[in-house]
Amino acid sequence: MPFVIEKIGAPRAVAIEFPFSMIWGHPGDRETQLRILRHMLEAARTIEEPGTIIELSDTWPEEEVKKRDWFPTEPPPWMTDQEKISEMLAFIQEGDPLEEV
Amino acid sequence: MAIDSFKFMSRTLANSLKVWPYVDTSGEEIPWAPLRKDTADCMVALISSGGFYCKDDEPFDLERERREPLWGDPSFREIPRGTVQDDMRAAHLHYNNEHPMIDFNCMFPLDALEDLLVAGEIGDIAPFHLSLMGYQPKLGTLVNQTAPRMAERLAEMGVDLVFLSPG
Repeated sequence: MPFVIEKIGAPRAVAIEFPFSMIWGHPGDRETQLRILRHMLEAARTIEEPGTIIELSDTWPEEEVKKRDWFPTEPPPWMTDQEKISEMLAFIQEGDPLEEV
Repeated sequence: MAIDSFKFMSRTLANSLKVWPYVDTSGEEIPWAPLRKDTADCMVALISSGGFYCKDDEPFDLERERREPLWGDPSFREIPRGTVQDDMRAAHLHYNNEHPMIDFNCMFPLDALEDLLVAGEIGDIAPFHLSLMGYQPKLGTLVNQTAPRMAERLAEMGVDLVFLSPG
């Protein structure tokens, strides 16, 4: 997620537009996993400017985007009712992200 | 920026992350640790925030998150090098855990890393990889306690290069 990477100031990053549960490609696709790892090795070797993000051109197959099968099998707890959503919205507006838990 | 960071999210999550109270680092220099060796000589470790743990280890605490949705388990787990699919588990309520339970490498590419070693493209692999559970609305414990301990553990193992994978 380049949006977040830029916000937090990560020193080096490789970004790819794949879904959450398959961020390294489909299960069993060792070739893609290996190729992404090689991009990361190259990033480690070549990035000299802190904050650089290398964006890969891979795209998730369009016919699979419709499956939406990367979503969790149950709704995340904070989205399960209006009260919890309101708690989250209050945190987003006024919360301290460095609060200890 | 060509990549759409929000492509695979629900609208609710995307709208939240667009206005999320990220830790403000805008006044700080981006930290920088130069790579001190050729990558072919580096010992490499992977860190995944996909909530991975070994089946005999303690799972990340999802029950507490269900009771307290602004809490995320801030601990980490060690995954021994060579862990096989049957021994790997994932506990994370914010993505479909079924895919890495078919092949954990689609979230945590430990086997492909072994391929890099065989090909001579890295020098060694750490005896343990690390994983945490990436849903962390309140980051204080992770930043102040867990992350320094993870960094210490990597240093103890003599790791030169770490790849972080999101989850």
